[in-house]
Amino acid sequence: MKNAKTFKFIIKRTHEAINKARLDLVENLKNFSIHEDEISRFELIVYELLINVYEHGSEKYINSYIELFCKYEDNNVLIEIANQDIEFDICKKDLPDIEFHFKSGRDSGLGIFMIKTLMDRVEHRYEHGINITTISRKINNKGI
Amino acid sequence: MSVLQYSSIKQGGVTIISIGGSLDAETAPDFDKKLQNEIAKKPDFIVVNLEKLDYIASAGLGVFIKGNESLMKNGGEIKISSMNEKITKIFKLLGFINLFKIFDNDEKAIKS
Repeated sequence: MKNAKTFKFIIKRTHEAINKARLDLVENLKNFSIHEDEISRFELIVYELLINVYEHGSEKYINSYIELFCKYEDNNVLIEIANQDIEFDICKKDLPDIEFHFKSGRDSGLGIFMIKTLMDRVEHRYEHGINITTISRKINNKGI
Repeated sequence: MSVLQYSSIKQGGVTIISIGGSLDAETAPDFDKKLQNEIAKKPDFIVVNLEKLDYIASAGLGVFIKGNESLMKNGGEIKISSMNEKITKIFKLLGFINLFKIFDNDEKAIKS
């Protein structure tokens, strides 16, 4: 953890809290002097992951919180999202064919497409009733 | 709470829709209904102006994909105009810039 910069959020399962977390993430990543294109990438993906928790979660856990942990080290951003719920493993979902989606008008699965294509690494584990999704990416400070 | 500003006007057989704010999981269902209502009126095509859009999530992109496919059944399509820097970046990141017809402004979209 030498020279690592970190931050952590606790997020309620509401649209409002998820949107606020998205904006707070952007502000915190700006402090790491990361290229704005890379920040946009994480903004998109973290929002999709948090919305997945909200939309695919069980009613039983509606009042539980989501934890977001971010670490920036050696030009690599790692984000871990943890929530108590039934298992939801994004890694088990197939990567959608986006051109087929476009031609057929299929509007679901785009979030999975975003997450899997915009990150270097996406991992999921389920431990003691907690979903833990980890995403990471080596930062390209030249932009898109 | 997310807010999506919405307005629409008709110019001949073309419908021009302008949206602003955030097109995310919360606002996309309402935008979908409005877009489908416009599609049901069978315009030649629809121009969607994104100049004042601050954010678009997968749910919002899904509305465009579904709407475009609905319009294509009647020989129409969605044309996107006036994308600002942030939304252009998102479309580029996702490769959507090559899927939709994108124009600098409404006038160019209408004349194309």
